[in-house]
Amino acid sequence: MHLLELAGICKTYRLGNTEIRALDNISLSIGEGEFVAITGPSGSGKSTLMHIMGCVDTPTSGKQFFRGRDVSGLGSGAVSGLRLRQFGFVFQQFYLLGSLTAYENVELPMIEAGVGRRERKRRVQELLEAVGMSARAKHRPGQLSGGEQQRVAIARALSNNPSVIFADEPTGELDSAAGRKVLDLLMDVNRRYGKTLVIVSHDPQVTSVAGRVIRLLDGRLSPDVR
Amino acid sequence: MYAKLALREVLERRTGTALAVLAIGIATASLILLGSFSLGLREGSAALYDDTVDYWVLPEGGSAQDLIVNTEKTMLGSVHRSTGDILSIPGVSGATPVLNRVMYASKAGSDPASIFAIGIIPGNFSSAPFQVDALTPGDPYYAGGDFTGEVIINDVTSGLLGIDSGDYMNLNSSGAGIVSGRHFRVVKVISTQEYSTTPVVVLHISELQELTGNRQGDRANYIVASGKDVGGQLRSLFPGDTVLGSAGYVAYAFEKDRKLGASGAAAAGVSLVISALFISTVMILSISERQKEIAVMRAMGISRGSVAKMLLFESLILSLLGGFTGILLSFLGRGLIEWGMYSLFGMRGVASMHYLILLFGLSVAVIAGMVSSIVPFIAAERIRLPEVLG
Ligand SMILES: Nc1ncnc2c1ncn2[C@@H]1O[C@H](COP(=O)(O)OP(=O)(O)OP(=O)(O)O)[C@@H](O)[C@H]1O
Ligand SMILES: [Mg+2]
Repeated sequence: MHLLELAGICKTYRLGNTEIRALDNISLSIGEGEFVAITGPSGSGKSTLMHIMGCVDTPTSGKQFFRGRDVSGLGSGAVSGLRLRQFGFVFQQFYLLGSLTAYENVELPMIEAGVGRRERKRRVQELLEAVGMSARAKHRPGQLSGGEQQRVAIARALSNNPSVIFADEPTGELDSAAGRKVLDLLMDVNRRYGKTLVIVSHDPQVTSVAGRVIRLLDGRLSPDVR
Repeated sequence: MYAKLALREVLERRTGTALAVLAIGIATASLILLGSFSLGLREGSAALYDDTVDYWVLPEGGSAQDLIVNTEKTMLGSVHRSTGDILSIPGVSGATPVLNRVMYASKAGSDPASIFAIGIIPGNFSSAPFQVDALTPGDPYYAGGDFTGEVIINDVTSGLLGIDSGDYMNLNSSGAGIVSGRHFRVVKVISTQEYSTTPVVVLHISELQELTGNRQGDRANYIVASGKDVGGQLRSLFPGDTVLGSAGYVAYAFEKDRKLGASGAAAAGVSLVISALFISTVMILSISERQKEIAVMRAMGISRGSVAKMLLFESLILSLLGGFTGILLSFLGRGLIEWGMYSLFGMRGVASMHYLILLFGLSVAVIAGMVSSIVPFIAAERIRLPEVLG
């Protein structure tokens, strides 16, 4: 059984009379522990695909499974729970909550998941340690550099011990050194903890190290490069 | 955590928060002031509302209005006996019947002026609204003794009639017969600036009854009593009549006076709408600013309920800040208005900031907060995650 499975996924947008096919009949599956890079030109549907996989967006048609379970028909509460406990998201622009400290940003999903205070404290410290940010725990995002913010965002994505990390251009806003550090961290998460990693990127640094590369062209899959 | 998050959001949105808090504050303050002045005006003219009065016994069908307006319509009878009964209740520290009438008063040889006469039994009520110990205690004329002819006047009457302590004045129920009417001697002039702006004369109830034709049946408008937790006993003593506690008096005054009730409700409505509008505007502005943050929270798996909770906290914080600002502003406003009233009309003590009115103002603000958190929540629900997240 695959971790994620898409079957005949289409996503169309209608703008007046024209129909935009952002995703056109995508079928693919991703196994537990895989490191998959999604690449392709701008507008090819990479983000759309990732959002559908992560249940942030819904397809126009097609079926979608998580650990063999059909998620197409799930209600908003169940989908929210899935995102909270099984998925972790890392965004190009980091998107930490500006009024919370690094520590609190990592803690928030655990609070939502009902993790006890003591356990939360232990895990937040451990995660900040793992991304090398424990010294900056009390800082607000505004006081951190882009690379530092992204490391905190990775810790936040890991807070409820998810099975998949989705990252949309996680290195896009960073210089190559900071980007390298973030990428190493994500790869570490994949290798050491066996978490499935799906990264959208056209950064060759990323595609060269991914276990598998999915290439999109005009909303369609090109044959896997690897 | 969501409360903390809400608090920080509110505090960090400085201008928006300040604007909303000020607007809610003004709306709340207007509401409080309206209530206080309405209540204060009636209290002022009755010269009666006082912390030492714990209970009012009103005739059946009587209303709080009867505390002020002298009406022959509904009155209590045999009030001396009833007052004696009340005083025999253990726990009652004082009681007196009160007869209110607008009378005509004059200094010998001058034109009569209308003044507000209050008949009581002095000595029965240690800390009556007025210091009345200058009057002979008890009610000698009722008990078959002499007509004392003693009156206490307030400084307003003193100024109006041009009389002072030791002077004589005429008092009559009609302006025409005033010269042939009874003569009274002023035993004391008291300052009522804290109570009343009305010319007032206080005298033994039986003597006022004599002047107004209320000796027959021993009638009075109501009886006031002080004491702790004796409401139940008073009610069983006056099963057909209305017994109000001091908090009940305010509630009752509001409830019974439809006019005041209606204007109060209208003011509350306006204040509610203004507050709700400001809260929701500030919140919606902040939400369009925070679209990304909220979308990220939702993407991370933070539930609708938790987002709603955060927004509710934000509205509540705004409304509480606004409500307390309103209370502060209302004290400030009262000071200003009273100062203005005094310098223009020589009136004082017009507003009564009863805690129930303050509480009412605060509640209206909080209700506005709760109501208006629905709007930003809908705005938050409409955020389309994939579009915002890019
Ligand atoms: N809300 C929308 N309404 C209409 N068209 C949309 C919408 N969202 C995406 N699209 C279109 O769908 C296609 C795929 O968009 P998507 O964001 O997935 O591309 P992408 O591969 O992530 O591009 P980039 O590399 O620039 O981020 C594009 O043609 C885009 O214009
Ligand atoms: Mg994209």
